[in-house]
Amino acid sequence: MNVSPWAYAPRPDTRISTVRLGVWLFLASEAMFFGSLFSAYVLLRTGAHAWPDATSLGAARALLIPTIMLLLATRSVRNQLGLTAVFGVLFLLAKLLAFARLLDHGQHPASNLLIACWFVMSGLHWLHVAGGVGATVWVMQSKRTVTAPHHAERLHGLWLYWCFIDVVWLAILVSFYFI
Amino acid sequence: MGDWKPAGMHLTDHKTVGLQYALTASGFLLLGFLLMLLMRWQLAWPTSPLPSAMAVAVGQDNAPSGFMLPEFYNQLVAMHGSVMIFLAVVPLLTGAFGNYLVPLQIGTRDMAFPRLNAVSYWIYLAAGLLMLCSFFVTGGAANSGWTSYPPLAVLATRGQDYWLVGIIMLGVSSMLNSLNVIATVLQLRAPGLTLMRLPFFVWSQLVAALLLLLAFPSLQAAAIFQLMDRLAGTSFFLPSGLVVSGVALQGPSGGGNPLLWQHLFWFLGHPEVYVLVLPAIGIVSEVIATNTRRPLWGYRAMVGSVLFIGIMSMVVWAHHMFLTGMGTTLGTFFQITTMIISVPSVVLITSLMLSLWGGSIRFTTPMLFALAFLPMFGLGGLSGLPLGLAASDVALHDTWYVVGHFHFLVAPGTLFAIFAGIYHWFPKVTGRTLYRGLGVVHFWGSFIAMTAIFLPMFTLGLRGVNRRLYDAGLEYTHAQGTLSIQGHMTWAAVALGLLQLPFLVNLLISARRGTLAGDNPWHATTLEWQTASPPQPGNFAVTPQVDRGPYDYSLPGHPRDYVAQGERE
Repeated sequence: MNVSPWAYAPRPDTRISTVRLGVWLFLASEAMFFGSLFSAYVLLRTGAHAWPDATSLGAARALLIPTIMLLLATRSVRNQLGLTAVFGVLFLLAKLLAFARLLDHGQHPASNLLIACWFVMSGLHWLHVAGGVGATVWVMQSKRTVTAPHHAERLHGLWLYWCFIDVVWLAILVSFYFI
Repeated sequence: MGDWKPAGMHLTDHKTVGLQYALTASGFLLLGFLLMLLMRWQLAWPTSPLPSAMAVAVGQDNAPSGFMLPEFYNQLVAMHGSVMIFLAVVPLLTGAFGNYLVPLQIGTRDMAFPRLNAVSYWIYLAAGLLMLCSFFVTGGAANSGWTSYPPLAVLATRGQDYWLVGIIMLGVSSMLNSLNVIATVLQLRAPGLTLMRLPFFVWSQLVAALLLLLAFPSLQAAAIFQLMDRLAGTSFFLPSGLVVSGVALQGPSGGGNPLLWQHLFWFLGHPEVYVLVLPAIGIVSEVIATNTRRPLWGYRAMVGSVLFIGIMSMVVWAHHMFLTGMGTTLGTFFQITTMIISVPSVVLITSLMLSLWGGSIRFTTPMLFALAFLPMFGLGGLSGLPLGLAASDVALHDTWYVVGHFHFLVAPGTLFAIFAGIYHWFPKVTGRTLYRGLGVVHFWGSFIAMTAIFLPMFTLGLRGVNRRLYDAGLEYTHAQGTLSIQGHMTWAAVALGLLQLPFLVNLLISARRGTLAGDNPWHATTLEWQTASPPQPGNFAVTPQVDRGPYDYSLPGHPRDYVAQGERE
């Protein structure tokens, strides 16, 4: 139960609803989390004598389909929540296959720092997508139990979260493959 | 106890969560104290066996025929620090005081997200128990210090994994708690309670919560990297060609950077220091305003300072790392930011000192602790300045001087603020007042004992005695003259423990038999005193309407010497 009178409508002096503020604060914390991961990646990579080529992680074009899945999942939050969950799950499966393929080719986290960073960073991103799918299902399930404005605020929060994991994913792709 | 818990109190009620945090964290505080007593005993008499009771508690494996193994001493060092900081003092300040008081002081029913608040407590409890379980695994608990520097921590025994998972869980717990505090303060303030009318305690909680929210994730990331190094064979923190005890390390591919951990750790570690300090100053401010019967001197400057500290604390972390041989440019940057951050800290303490000027001071028990906080905290803070300058830090860093410095901040500093807070708000929580006589004994005893424990640490450090030595430096010539001091410090620590007995007795007896306090025993102004003691579920029968600042004491032309914040003209 949320006790705030401004839970779902903007409070006049802060101009934001409590639910929305909560999501933004959560995302701020998450941004610091991924920011730490990225700064570690940058420090390790710039400090390395030799850095392996990213193609040892698989061709960049193999990641095109998961990327599209993720973007479609985010796009569907506004109108088709069910599709968000489906695309999210497809992304998770595609990435699982990619991880399995890497391991099959003898590319373990212990092999070198590039692969270690890849496994940790895209692995943690994978967990965040899984969390996003869970949250999507939860928002869908509980739609009947909450008021319309409450549901709308939750949808907005969910959309912000999916946008956030899109940005993280694109940042991972760009920093591993294109820089 | 029984009768002070109102019927119908819910597991998600902020007061319940606050009390759960308070009791659990007090348990961890006691545990951290007992770990310290074992360390102190070893330091005082390194060549004699432990007394039989201690030897039995420690076990044959850790102390064969009563002689403590250095490996076990290392576990004590690591776990004393981890337990005290992560499981005792921070949860007391934020989880207990923050949860219980913030909604009351801003005049609302509960936290913004009550369920998340309860979840935050249960994750904290699980994380704490997990860390403690590690004492029973092969090789014992984490033994690489509370800072867990690699490569040592990566190569350490199994207990380190428990520590790392515990830290990751604590990060989740503190994220939920701090997010909640920020949303509560910004969104749930009573009508008319503008930001500049907030009690200073609320400000301190707000900034501490922002620090935890933004800084803890970096330690979580670091803990995940270290866990990978230990379990998946990666080498984020292991450099190439590492030689351990004369043998080249086989296995890890290398290329990692041990300093990366230090950067990520202290990016949390330093803001964490301010999480230990700011809410403590917040508590002391409330106690001082109430017991001097005058408004805080320079409230606006204090709010500005606390915000400035919050920002600056994110850019001083590497002053913990001068010994890593960082370049002079980087070193200069962090020395300058460190000197800058000391300015708002001094503003806070000076404002509190000036608040005493011209006040009609009441020497209540909480006020005694709050008054002692000021010079003790000042001593801790000022002794930190030589550590903030690389040249003197190089000599002092690995000595007892550092131990003295941060213990003055945390023990007679923060812990005294916590005691002040307990004496001050116990009547609100239980409806009954603590006995003053026992409180005075507790205060003077703790004050003298703590000084006797921590002041000699500066001497030891200035003589160059290294910290972390399990035999107190028995083998070093320069430490010979200091060995007897270790004995005195240990007796002072024992005395400190015994002097907590009047406090415990006071808590237990007063909760049942103490004088009934009524709603507002201290004649204080802030909103928590304008509801029942203990407050009913929902806190306020009528939502307070605020149209004045937090500290309207001794206003001319009023019949009483205070006007409560929720009172209408």
